[in-house]
Amino acid sequence: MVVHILGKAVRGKYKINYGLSATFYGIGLQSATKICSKLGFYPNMRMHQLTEQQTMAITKELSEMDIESKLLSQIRANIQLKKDNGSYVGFRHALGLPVRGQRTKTNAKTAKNLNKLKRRF
Amino acid sequence: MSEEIKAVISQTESKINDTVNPTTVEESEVAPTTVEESTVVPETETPVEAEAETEPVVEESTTATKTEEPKLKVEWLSLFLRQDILYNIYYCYCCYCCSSLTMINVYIRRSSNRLLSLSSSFTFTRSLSSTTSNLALQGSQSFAKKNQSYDNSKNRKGSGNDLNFSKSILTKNYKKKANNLSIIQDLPILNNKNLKLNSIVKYDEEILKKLYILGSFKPNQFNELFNKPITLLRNKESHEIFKFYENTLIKESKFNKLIITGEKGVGKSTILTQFHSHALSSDGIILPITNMQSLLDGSNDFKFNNELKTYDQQMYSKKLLKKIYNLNKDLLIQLPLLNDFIPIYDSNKLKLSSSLKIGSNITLCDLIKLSLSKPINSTHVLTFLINELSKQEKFPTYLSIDNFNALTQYNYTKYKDIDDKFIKYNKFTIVNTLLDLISGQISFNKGGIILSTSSNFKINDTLKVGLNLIEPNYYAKNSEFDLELSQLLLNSNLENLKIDRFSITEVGKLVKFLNDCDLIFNDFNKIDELNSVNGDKDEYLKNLINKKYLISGGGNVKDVIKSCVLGYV
Amino acid sequence: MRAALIHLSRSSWKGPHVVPLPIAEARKNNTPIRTNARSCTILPQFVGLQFQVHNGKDYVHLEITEDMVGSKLGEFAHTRKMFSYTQTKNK
Repeated sequence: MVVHILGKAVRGKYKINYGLSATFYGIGLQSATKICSKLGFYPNMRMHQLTEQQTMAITKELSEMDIESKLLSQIRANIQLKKDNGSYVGFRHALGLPVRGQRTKTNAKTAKNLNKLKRRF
Repeated sequence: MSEEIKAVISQTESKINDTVNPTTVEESEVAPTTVEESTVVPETETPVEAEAETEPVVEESTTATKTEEPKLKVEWLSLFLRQDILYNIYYCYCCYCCSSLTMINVYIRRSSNRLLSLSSSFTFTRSLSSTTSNLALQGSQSFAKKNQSYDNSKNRKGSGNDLNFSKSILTKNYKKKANNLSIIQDLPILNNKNLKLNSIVKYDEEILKKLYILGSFKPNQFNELFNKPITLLRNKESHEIFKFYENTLIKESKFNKLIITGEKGVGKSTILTQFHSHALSSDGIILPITNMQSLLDGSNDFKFNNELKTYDQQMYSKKLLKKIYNLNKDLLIQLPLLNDFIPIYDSNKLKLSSSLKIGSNITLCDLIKLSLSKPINSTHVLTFLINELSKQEKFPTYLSIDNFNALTQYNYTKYKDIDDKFIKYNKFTIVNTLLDLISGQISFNKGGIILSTSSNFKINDTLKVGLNLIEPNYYAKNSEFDLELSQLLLNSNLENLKIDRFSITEVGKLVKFLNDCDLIFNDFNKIDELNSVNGDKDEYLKNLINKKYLISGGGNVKDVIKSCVLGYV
Repeated sequence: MRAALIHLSRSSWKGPHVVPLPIAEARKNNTPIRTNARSCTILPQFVGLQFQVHNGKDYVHLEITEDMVGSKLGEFAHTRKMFSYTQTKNK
């Protein structure tokens, strides 16, 4: 069984806190557990056990948080700001090189893959 | 015919040379000159070999059709014959759906004429072969056929296939395959009137059914070795538990409190089961909590009750009520309701006028039925039921809790409140009611409270102080010591029944019984050990008992049975 | 930016790392402040001022804007030159 939250499908057999943290960017296990305890779900509750009302309650909680595309655009804006400043951090981001003083003679693969003008995630 | 075969061979040879590791081919050409009349064959290929010996002619005819199969898996076998002729026979077989093995081609390096002589020699030897080898051939062929029909795609390693042994005990009925019904039927029945101490007994049939409902038998107790569960009545412990049981028939439950402690695998739960059997045989009502942990580990729902300011656990109490109903329905039906019952509904929309009033033949059985059929607060029903049971005088009533130290091991449960903080155990309605029973605030007119610890959970200072074994350390960490609970346990005067290890006579009884049931795994040493005592079986058993007593660290039952039953211990 | 990142990087009792600079004079005369203190934290008071920060070779001119507050002066004066290939060796 699949449960749909905010248009995303979550597996029914997952525990709720795990299911939320696995599906949404910007929600970890900790914040997912916080949502669960706030809404009064017991720790071992599974996704398929949610009633319609409870799903709505989760949706409401999530819509107040900075997750998914909202969070991504925030991060991109922060990087853009650094770049517009003329700061060293922004410079390195634009070059696609590591930002925090790591070596570049070898390795630095992650930075080369991810640090783009529009950072990839 | 030979030309046809040659054509086929030349086709397949090219394919084989592509697929076969070139080094293996070279080895096969060089090696056989030194070794004669020995066949070096991997075990899995034996059925194929058998097929080759029996029907080589048929295979030739099939070659032409089957070489065109797309997936070719090539294995090689080298056969060395007495006539000093060296043949390298390549067995190619095709994979149908990744599994079925079918012979495609046999080819011989030198000439196809040799093939005929070879096949005739095979048939000749086969006709001369004895009946047993014939049977063996048939057996191996049937094995091969089974192997053909084996579908790999059905071997899904998903849910259900990966159960470990102790979990598979619950679903797979191993005890039906145990072959010792006749021995167990001769055993005496566990009887209240005539307690045969120091002997192995079985349970009464009627009581056994109830014990299964109650959940007294646990997966790691080796009960699957026997058709029916058996138990050893121990000299000291079984006697003491029987004495305790006799007290419960006379006194109030607040004077009868017992806690069973002891090390791992020493038989605490078994002694508890013996008590259950005693209690059930004399019309006792049991409130069974087989695992205290399930109240605290967050596996059931919880909801705040505004009146009591505690949390209700509806799912758990419903399950428990169902269990109580199944276990004691013939007794509960005889008990009339003593107070009016006004149910609490979970939501205001479902207000139904179904309160139960005194008189009009309403029994406690009806109360539980109501709670199971309608959406009412079942935790409230459970507490109400316990209060009702405390007022009646007809039947002795018992509270039995296994794994009690799951409660004392941590202060906090795994549940979390709205502020994301762990909730303490005393915020739960059911736990509070149980603690009331233990402390004696609620007391049954006849009956007792029996608790049992488990070595799966840690035994910390809380329990030790509660049993007056050590002085409290007030500076201990909050998570390690709970003063409140330990004081409650201390004031409730729990009697401590410490289960000791088996004495050597008790180990002797057990090992002798296992030997009678032919359950002792001693294949490798048995003959030597029997020879050393000149075939005297009594002497052999005596030595075995002494050995098992030593291995088990001086009479730990679990280790005794493990060392007898399991091959690797 | 996340407050935690700044908070965790340096103990709060120390306060920001600042060196004495002729801010008042610069504001009066509207002259750039020439400094070698690359590790000086940019404070809100600096906004609008002009700096000449040493990059190891010469002094890089920069004007402080509001977004720069909280970072160091050295972040805006790059010390390394990008390598760019030139075809003729002589030039």
